[in-house]
Amino acid sequence: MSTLNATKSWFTSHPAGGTWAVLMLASLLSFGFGDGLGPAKLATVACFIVAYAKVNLIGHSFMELHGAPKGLRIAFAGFTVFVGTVLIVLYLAKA
Amino acid sequence: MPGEVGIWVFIFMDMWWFSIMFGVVVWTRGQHHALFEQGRHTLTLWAGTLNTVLLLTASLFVVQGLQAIRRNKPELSRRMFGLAMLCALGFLINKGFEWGRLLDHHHHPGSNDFYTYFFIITGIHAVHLLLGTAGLGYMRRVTRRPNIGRTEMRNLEVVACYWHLVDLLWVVIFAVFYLMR
Repeated sequence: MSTLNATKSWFTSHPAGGTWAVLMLASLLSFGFGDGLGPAKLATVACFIVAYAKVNLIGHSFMELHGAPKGLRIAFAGFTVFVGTVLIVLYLAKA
Repeated sequence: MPGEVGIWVFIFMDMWWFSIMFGVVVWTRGQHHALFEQGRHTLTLWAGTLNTVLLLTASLFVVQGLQAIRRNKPELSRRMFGLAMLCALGFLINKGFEWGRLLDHHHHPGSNDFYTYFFIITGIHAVHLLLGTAGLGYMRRVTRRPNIGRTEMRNLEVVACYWHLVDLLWVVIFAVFYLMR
């Protein structure tokens, strides 16, 4: 419990460090998918989802969109969801 | 708003342009699956992963540098921007080795569709990265000024946003060329 609290406290006091750690773990997961983990189609779709989740996280945290006007936040999040979805649909349509 | 409106217009336009290129790659890959899969296996997955780690780490240093300057700690800020520049240099060296290895094996931009897209897109990204690295140099220089006013602060945020754009573009490039199978 104390480890959990310590981790939570560290993430609260170092938000950018926490984002970086999550991005690293996501990259490791992507590496596994690219290296043959799971069926090809499923792994590729997962890679795209992870990639655009990472893009969204970079925007939200590193680019400080969390404090930006709502319109900009929605435009950025909408863009990542839209493009990510289009790429997945294109991939599945031709896979 | 982080930075100013102009940089966000640029960021969205650049992301659209790259997204169109990504769409073309995914579509073409569907038509020449074997060719693209063969091409993917000539890339080095760990090198692409290392470059992802380097850019994400550089982004972290840029965030820390910007926060340090806001807390009136120019020395720390300068160090952070310097470390970000080192990560950028590491990325370019790694990318240079990868390009060199591909060219040594006679995989050049004219070889087939896979290499054409790979060299064009990673090449345009490398130009973005060089501009971003020059921007980081500017950020380091600004931290030496005795007084950092509102204009300088806004400029620092603009360059930081541009740097993160370079980072997020690579995240998708990595997925499209190295991971998609």
